[in-house]
Amino acid sequence: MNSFLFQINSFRFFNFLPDFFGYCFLTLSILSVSAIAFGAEFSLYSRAGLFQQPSSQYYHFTQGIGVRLLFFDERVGVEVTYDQRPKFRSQGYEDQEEFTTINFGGSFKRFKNFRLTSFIGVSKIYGYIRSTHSDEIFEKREYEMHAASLSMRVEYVLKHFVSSFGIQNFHGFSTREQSEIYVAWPFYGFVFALGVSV
Amino acid sequence: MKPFIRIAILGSFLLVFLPFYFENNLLAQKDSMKSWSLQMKAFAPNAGGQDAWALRWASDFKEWMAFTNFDLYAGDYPLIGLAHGWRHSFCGLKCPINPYVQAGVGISTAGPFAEFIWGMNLLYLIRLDFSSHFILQKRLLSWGYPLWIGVSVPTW
Repeated sequence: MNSFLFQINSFRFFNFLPDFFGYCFLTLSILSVSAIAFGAEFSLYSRAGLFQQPSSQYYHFTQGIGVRLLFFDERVGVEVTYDQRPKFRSQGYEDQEEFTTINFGGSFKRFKNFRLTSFIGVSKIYGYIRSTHSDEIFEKREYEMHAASLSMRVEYVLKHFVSSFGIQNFHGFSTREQSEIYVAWPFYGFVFALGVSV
Repeated sequence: MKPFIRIAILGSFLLVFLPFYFENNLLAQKDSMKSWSLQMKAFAPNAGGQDAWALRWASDFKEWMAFTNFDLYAGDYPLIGLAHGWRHSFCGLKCPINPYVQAGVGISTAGPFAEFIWGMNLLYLIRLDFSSHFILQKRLLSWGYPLWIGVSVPTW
């Protein structure tokens, strides 16, 4: 029973859903009027990526979803994404990370069906690591931080389908003590996204 | 802040902005502005940051850069590299606040690498970059410079 409850608690995806939908609701409600007025592109897409953690040279698979609204000829817009690194178990430890992001940006170069886009925003990172050595000895260390989110992508648009490939970085903000000794927490990754747009 | 540093900062601003006071059309006469930047210590996951230096020469569309990182070694030597980048400036070097994105390729003592930058020039003199390097060795290594801070000098 204890382990069953723990599993529910550790599946933080549901905890982040209110955040994600909250961002989406705000974004859509504020911008929908502008979108109707100026013409817009609304996209819904799934994301798959490879991310490197700050302190290791190993890449981890991530998966996620995103919604985006671009207007003024797709030059400016806002997107909200949620990415999750699935649970990884190794040598008696389990860890997981989640990134909820709100980005602003748009396309700045276009050629035929391709376009270059750049987005910048803020992200909330949640992660944990716990020992799986024994059920009786339970240790879990959680961490949460905000980060600058930066991305640069090449997109291909074909009618109502949008695909993109690009670089996505999260630069975790340090605490004041950490800033004084020049510490930051960068996550680097490549993200492929595929979705539909109207 | 020590008086000397205060005077040095004030003096630097005066050196740059005083010409504009006397000749407010100075920027308009020059179509292509350039900028030299020297970047120093960068933030990093390890305490103390990265002891890294970069010298960059940029226009609104291109940039040449040379850098070294004394915290990373390729064999017996510190990581040293040279790169050329293509830049998209959202306002241009003429603007007091100029955000830009940039992608480049280069060679280093650890192998070929690609560089991606999201940065900003502030008041012609300050440069802030979020930068990442992807170095191709036997596998793809990522190394970045979150908040790489530098000083710039505008030129023509």
